[in-house]
Amino acid sequence: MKAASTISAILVFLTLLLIGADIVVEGAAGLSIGTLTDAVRDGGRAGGLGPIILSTVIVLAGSILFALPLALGGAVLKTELLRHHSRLARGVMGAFEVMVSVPSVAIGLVGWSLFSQWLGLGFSLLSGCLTMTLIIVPIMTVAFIGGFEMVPAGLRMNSLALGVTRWQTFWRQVVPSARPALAAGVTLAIGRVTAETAALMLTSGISTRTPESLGDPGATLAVHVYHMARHVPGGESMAYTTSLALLLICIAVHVALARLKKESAA
Amino acid sequence: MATPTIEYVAEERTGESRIGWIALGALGVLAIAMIPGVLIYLLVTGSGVLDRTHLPTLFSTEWYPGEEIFGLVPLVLGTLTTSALGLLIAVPVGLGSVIFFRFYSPASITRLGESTLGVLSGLPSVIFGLFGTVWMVPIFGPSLLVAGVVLAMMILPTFAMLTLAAFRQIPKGTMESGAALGLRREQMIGRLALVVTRPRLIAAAGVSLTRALGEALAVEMVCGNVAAIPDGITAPVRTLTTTLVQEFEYATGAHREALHLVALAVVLLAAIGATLAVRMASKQVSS
Repeated sequence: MKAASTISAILVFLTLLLIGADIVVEGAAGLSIGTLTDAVRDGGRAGGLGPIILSTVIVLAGSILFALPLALGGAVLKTELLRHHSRLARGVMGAFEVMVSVPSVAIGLVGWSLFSQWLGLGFSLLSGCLTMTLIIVPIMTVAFIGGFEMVPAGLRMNSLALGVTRWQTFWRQVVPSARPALAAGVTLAIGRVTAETAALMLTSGISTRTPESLGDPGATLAVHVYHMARHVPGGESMAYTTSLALLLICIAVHVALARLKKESAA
Repeated sequence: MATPTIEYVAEERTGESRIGWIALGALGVLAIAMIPGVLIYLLVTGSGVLDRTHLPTLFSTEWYPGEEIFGLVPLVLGTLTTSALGLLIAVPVGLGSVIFFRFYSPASITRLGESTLGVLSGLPSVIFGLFGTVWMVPIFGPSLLVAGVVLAMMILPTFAMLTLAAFRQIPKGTMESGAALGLRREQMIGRLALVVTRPRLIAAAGVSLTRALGEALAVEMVCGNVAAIPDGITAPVRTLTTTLVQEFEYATGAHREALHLVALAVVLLAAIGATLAVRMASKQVSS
């Protein structure tokens, strides 16, 4: 058993090592001073990632902005408004947990059909933001619920016993002490949006031009990797450079999550 | 300054906000209704092809949208075979590596392993697709095999992290009594750890399966996209999800409606994995 498990562990390390080395070596070869800011030229064979990074930031900011109040509401519904351990409260929790695993491509198709076509948004960053909101709300809600439920009951009781209202207890005691878990939920969502491809290709499209408004289309980093590797002959080098940027973001997200986890355990 | 406390309380009492709670509750109801709404939308729009002319074609083995033949059989088969192959590779390797990290390796290697899994699990799936395109497609051709391996790389970290978490939650006493009974390490793993955590291991596999079934672009890059019953492991295949991303842009009329049905089929298949996961995860460890 020791031999077999050791080999498996080596395989895991080897996977990251191979993929990591491949991306770093090939990706670094395409790096230049202007990679982060320059426009995409020659269909992606030359130039930088400026517009792609801008689109990614817009989709990230937009979808998290839309999702925050919804996820907060979902979590409040479960932890503050419904009776604890009631069948309904457990049902709400179960529903959000199941919704986390609805394949994003299906939600992406609805985003395309509903937002891009029916609402007439076309391929646009706004359509991408709305679609990603549908995808990340359950993820954030589950994380928020976990955070609120970890708040010691004593904190709430002390506050209420002092005559502070429930509303203020929630905002001044519960939310601040659940802060690391809330931040972890947002970080998870950032990771999810950054990694998403199918749902965004269907809604915000594959355009590499600089978006001027939310109504313009724009490819995010992950969509750009796919588009370069699959549809642009000679685009592989840029696919690797874009992957390098994504790898760095993933490592940052991982480090942030590990920190927040430690913080919320303390 | 005679009665500061009373003033304070009086001021705070007005701080209750009925409207605030109602607003948050309404947002919460909206949050919970969104995804069911998405599913209903898929069903309503997709049901357009559930009429007498199109319904029988859904069960055919051919997908010719141009002739309005929407046989889901090859697509469902493509989804199931690629995901099953991915799971078949990821589960043993993932389980093995976690056993190593939990029971054999020094703490420093375990931490390194955890970080490795953490980073791998967050990588966008297209990166695995790119890796498969560059390193595996030239050797094996776009095929069921390469798609399965790419999916395995993609889901292994998720499966392994969930499994590691399950191992961590084994009650200390369980392992201690095993040691007190003089069990060897192999027996502690095989007869105790794996037995106690079995529901959660199945749950982890369910979550991983769900991710594999729903993956679209990483598979699209390496699977060959031929809508036919695969006749071998190196045959090109096409899945439900790859059909969506390839055809959505030019689909109109019945074809467009059929794609909604394809999306619904993806959700239904994934629901099997998800239900398995939630059911099993809620099972208490009996020790």
